[in-house]
Amino acid sequence: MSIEITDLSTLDPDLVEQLQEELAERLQEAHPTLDLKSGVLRDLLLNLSAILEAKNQTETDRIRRSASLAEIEADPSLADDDAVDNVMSNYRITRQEGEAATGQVTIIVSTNTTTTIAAGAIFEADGKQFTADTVFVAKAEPENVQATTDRLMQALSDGSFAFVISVTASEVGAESMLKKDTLLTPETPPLNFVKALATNDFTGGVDTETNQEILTRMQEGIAAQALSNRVNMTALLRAHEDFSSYVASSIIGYGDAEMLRDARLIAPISVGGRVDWYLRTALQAYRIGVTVTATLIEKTTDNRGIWQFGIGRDVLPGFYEVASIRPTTSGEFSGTYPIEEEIRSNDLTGDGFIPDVQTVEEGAYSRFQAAVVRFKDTDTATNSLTVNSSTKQYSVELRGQPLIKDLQEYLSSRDIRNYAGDLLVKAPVPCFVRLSFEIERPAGNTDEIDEDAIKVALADEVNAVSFTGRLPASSLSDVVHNFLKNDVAVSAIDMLGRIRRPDATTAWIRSSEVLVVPSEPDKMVTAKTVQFFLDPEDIGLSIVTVGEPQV
Amino acid sequence: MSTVTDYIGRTVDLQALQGAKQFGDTLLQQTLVGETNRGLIIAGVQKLAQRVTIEFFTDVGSITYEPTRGTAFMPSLRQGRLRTALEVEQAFRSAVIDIKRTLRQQELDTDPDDERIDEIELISIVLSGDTVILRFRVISLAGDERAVLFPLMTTLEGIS
Repeated sequence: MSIEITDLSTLDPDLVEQLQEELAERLQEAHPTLDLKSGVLRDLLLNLSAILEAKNQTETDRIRRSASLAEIEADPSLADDDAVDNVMSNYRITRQEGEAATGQVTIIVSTNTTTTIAAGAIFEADGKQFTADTVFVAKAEPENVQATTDRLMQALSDGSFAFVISVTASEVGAESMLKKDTLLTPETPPLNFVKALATNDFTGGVDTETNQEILTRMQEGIAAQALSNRVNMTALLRAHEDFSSYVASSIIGYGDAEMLRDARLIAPISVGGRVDWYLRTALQAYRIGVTVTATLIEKTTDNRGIWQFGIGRDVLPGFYEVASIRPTTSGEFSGTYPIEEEIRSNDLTGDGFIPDVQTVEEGAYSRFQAAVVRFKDTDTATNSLTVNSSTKQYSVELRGQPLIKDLQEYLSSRDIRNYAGDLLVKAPVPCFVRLSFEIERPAGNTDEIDEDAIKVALADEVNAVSFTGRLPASSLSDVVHNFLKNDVAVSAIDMLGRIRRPDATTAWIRSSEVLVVPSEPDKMVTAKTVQFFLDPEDIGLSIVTVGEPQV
Repeated sequence: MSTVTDYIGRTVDLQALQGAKQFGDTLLQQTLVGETNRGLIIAGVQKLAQRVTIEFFTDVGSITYEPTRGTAFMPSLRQGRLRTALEVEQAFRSAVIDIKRTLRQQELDTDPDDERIDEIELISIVLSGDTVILRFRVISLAGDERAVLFPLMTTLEGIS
């Protein structure tokens, strides 16, 4: 909101009238012979003066309010951005400017002839534009791939070829954060173009901070920024440019039932000095695709085999699970080879401070987590392959949260960490939610129902739930009803949650009233550690027409 | 011609419609400063007549923060809704109600009677081609007892 009023018709009518009477009274006192009740003097002098005075007073009021922390807190939307920035600078807080989302795009072409994507080439998806970061040249032969912007074409099983380029959104903001596999349309299709799709979830798209957000950050960040109590620790993150936009935080420490790392003595006591910090850094579970090299470790009787690959701690630090395993040459991006076994471990190597992590459960969803995955390739014949020798590349999709490694490194740095204890950053224990419900509308009702918008709004609602451990169906019904009108109703919402515990076991919870996280502190599963995750794709919504009963 | 002494005890307004004569038709000029004066002040029934005229010609809703000021007469005329003498009369009488209500809201009991509205009488309506000629009489509470105060020349600086 700007301080300056540019449209004189937007003033407060009561203020104009009040000022007109005030001016008339003052002028009458000074010039008793003027008729100021009505007429030309009133119309031309008082009325216009009152309007201009009202403009001045309103602008002055806005300046005053924008300069007052109390007024900004009372109504952040009314404050002028520049003025708020000035006030915030008193607390050494700077408004965070929006950033454009970036990501990788897989381009599929029908032949393996050399293909060039020009720098700045435009792609569109979800109403947003993205431009190629530089010129990319895709080539068929590995020996021809020399420059950093050269790309090697990979053959797909359907006879087409794929290569990956990087793009950046034309506009800043979170709306350009494409999900993995979102189709993009090139403004000028390259030669032999088949299709283009997001290789991974896009990252980095951030909206410019609003007055409300900067105020919240100020309130959380005004405290001393240090690894001390929970307020101070929150302030530390809110003040950090890279981490301030985290979604939810829960700090488990001395005295909390979920804290296992400080209670390993034979005697049932806690010694303190340990902190598990559960940080949700993205609204939705972040998805990335990686190419892994798997080794055949066992042949099965059906001439197929069990393959194994490792996931290092830096692939997607703190990842939740392997969402899919597919051959890299598959053009069909659906389905997955069945996972036979997943063995998690902790990789505590390296320099610098390493937190005290002794069990796999303790290190689950932290940056130290690593894993070995075994799966059955149901397509590849193994009669001519050698166990423990033959390898093959696969395309793997992981789900997790970004920034876990960066957070751990920052909070473990010598200047930041508490000298009296250690802190382990973890992604929250995930509860992947699925919803299903019906929208019932009476016969003859032809109102358009925007299913996609409803799903996105529901996902936003669920993903914004803090560490409360409860997901009430009523709040979801409320969201859906915002999109409905004219006697259209919502059936009971069936909520199904899948909690992947740190010990790799699964807990299922289900309700049509309130989805409640179980209290299992000995397994580090409670309301303080679990977050709900809902992808719009995991919402089953059907619209049914309800006939009116014959009377 | 009036003198300063005639205006003693009166409150004055600026004359915005200049050129009126005691008798006969005159085309009024909408101006605050005429060719032969640097502004005129008025009082009494002249002031009342000017208010009535201004209200009559002001489109209702055209003054941003005084939405009830004015009448719908001129908008109706411009929009072609007044095609017969009867329609013009109906519109005029409707406007008179608005004018009287507005002026009475602005009047004080202490105002001189010749500055307070009593009635606005329609004398005649003539429709000729695209021209409408309305003749109406403005009657103050003073009736025929009003004293006509003619505009008094003044400088804007010396208005008080």
